Amino acid sequence: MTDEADNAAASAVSRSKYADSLDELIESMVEVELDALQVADKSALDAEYRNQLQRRVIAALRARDQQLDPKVLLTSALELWAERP
Amino acid sequence: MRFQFSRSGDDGLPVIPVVPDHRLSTIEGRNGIGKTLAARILEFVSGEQPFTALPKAWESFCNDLGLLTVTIDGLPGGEIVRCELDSSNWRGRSEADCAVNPGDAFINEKAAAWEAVRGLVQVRRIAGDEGLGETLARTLRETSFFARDRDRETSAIVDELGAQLGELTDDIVSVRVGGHVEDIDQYRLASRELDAATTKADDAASAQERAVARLEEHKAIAATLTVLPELLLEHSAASVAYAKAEASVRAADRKLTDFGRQQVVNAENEARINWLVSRLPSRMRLLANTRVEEQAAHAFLKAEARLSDAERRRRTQEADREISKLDEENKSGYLAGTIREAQQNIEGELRAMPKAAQQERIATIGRDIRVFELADGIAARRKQLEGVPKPDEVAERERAIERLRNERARLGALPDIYRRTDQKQKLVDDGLSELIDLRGAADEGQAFLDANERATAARTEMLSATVALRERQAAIETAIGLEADLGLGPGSSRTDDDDDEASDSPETPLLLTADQMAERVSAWVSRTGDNIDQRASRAWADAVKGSAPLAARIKKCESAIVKAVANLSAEAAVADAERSASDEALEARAAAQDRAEDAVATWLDRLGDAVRSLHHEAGPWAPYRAAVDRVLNRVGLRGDAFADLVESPPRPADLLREDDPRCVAILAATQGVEAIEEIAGEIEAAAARVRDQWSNTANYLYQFSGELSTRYDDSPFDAKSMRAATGVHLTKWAERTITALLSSPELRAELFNGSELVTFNMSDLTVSWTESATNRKRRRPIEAFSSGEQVFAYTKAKLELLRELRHGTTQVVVFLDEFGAFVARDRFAQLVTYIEHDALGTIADQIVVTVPLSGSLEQVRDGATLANLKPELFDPPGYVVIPARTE
Repeated sequence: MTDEADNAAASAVSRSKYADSLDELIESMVEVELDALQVADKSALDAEYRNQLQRRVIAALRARDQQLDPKVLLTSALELWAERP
Repeated sequence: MRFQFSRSGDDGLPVIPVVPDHRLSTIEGRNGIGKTLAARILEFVSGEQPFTALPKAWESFCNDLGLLTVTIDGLPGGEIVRCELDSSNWRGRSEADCAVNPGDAFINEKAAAWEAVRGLVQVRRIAGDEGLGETLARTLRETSFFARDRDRETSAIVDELGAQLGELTDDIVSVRVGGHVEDIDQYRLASRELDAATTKADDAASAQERAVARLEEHKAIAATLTVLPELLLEHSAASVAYAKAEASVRAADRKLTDFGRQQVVNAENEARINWLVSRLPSRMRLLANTRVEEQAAHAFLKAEARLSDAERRRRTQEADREISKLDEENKSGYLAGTIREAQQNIEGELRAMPKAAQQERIATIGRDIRVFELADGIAARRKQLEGVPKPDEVAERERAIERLRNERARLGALPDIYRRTDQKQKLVDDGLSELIDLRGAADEGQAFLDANERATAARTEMLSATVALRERQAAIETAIGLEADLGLGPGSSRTDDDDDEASDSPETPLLLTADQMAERVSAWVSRTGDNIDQRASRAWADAVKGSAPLAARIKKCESAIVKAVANLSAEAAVADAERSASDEALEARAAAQDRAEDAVATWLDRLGDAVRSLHHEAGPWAPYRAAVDRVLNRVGLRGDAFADLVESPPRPADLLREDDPRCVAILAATQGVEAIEEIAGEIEAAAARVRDQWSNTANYLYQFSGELSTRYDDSPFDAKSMRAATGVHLTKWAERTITALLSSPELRAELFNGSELVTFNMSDLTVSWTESATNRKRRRPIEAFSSGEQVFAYTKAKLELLRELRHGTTQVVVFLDEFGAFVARDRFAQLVTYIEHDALGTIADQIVVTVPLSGSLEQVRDGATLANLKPELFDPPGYVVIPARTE
């Protein structure tokens, strides 16, 4: 995204008094979707790990004042998988 | 405060030129002259975005407003604010961003920040035609646009993630072919079945070869038995002839001896003559042997006379050329053999290369082929070619080559044979000459000479008989497999060529009598009986045991062997059929194994690429190496095993034993690569889920705002399907949000009888509350709040909601827009009274009420004049400003 677009997005957020409420709503809906998905699909990744990873991604997307870095996200996801009990 | 709107030309959306400075005024004017737009522009420069829920109006605002200057004066501090707007600068920017920074601002002709302008004055517009339903709908519509922005923003991030992670996982994504465990099982099973089929085919081939060999052996015995009687007869006749010739020689010698004794010879000569006479038969036999050998060689070489050295060289060279020619023809005619030979050479070179070099690409055939793969492929094909039978012409050429090599060997042996024959001939000649000399010296009479001539003739005859006997003897011994004993073959030179007189004592009789030969043949028949087929052995044994003549016994043996040949022929046919069946089964198993191996090889090839990609120091995974190592460690792949897989890519054979460390490492690497790829994919999927939920939310809120108010009922989404698509979370959120909006103190006071609890029901779009005074429960649909009374109350509530605004700015101006309905319902005076007493000075510093034109401009102006209200007429564009009486 361009700087201008970044600013615009930030402005839009600041203009919605429901931003936090919507973020929480989205998080809860994603959790529901993921729970349903994990019953249906056959991922090699276990449910707990996927939930944790989903939460990290949500947090990264919600922290919109920081540039989301795929490298950081992937590294942390790999380490999380390696460290899981 | 006075608000002036000016532009240099006539272009642009129409907007009224001025809003005069009155604490409370009414603007009554024609439709379409820009009264509402003026209010919205002033909201806009106040930092609000009045078009958030109106995308089409915003688009028109951006495209058509043009250059516009807004001047604000009459502020308490005497400041003059100038705002210069250029809508062409807003294109491509978000409406929220444009509201934050709509153009250039000046205070007292000095450039100023928008925050400074907004600290001096804030303008709000309250629409009289916007009831509770519309307000709720607008709020949700604005929220839906916010959600839409988040959807777009998240979507861009998902795209970026997809691009970056996709590039990263390009080399490892294909490892996930799925079902590789089943592929391994299939490959192992196919390999085991191939091994079993190979063993069975080998056994069948051996059995068939044994059966054929046994059959050929018996056929040869049968053939020998067929010719033996005739050969024995011929040998017997030759033996008789030889005995007769030998008797003639002895008689002639005796005659000569008798002549000699009649002469006066000294004792020394007598002894010498006797010795020579005694040696002559032996010398004759030795000469006969070498002549037989020479004749056999000549017969093989089809030579009628001795070959000169030049002729032998010529024929040797010719044989060499012919052998080379046949070899070349076989190489081209027997492609399997030629290719196999080339394969052995190439494979040997490839296998001899260093380990590291074996990983290098050596060819490109659709894909890159590595050295070890080429070597494996050649080995596999070579194995297949081993079973390809030789064509008949190839076998024929090979036999011809064998014959030529024998011819060449015999040509090479000829000088030695010639030398020995000449040597034996010389011994005979010298002996005879010496004998003649010794005797001639004693007697020169004609009688002696005649006797000597007869003796010479007898010896010549004996030589012929010897040769004939040797030939018959050789024929029999060849038939019964004793060729080597005869010294007739190339390279089997005899040692009796050194006619050492002292050692000339033949250990084996070179010439056999008929009885001796019969004895030898009988022995052969007995020996052969030990080896013949079991089913014929009894009949054979009976034949051998009998006391019948040899020829008769041979005849019986022949009968026995013919039956054995018939049995063995049938068995050979069965063995041949079994061999063919085994070969076919082997071929099918090999094909099945090839297919199973191909499936595994494809997967392993991809795994090899993935492992190299993960390991490459300069590759895309280099920054993640530590994290990748941890994942691989977690699945049990140690660093050295990982490096080994990179150094020596996995091959199907590694998977044959599940306890093989390489197999264990390959399976762990597969699990690790799959996990890494899934993790990368899951990150993108997780972000996509967030994006999708933003999209669902935006669409749902957009649609739901249309349900709340017909003014916003432009949703392209079907209400039922939207509700079905969104879960209970979203509808509950909307319900809670609307309930919170309705529960503001201002609304509860104005609309809900001061109720402590107001709730909104999504299912029927109704509001429920309990009157605090009567404790009576009330329930009303949203659209019921559009009655005049309710709109008035709602307007009061909305004004109350602005009360806090005055704390952050110097001046607050409120436009009460679209209040024509109030005029029509005679509630205008009620509204003005409320404004004068409860709003002016507490909520707003200046209030402007806009209403539609109730008559002609002049009538309105004159009416106000008559009421002493000092109206101002602005025509064009056609509106009258009427200050309130209170001024």
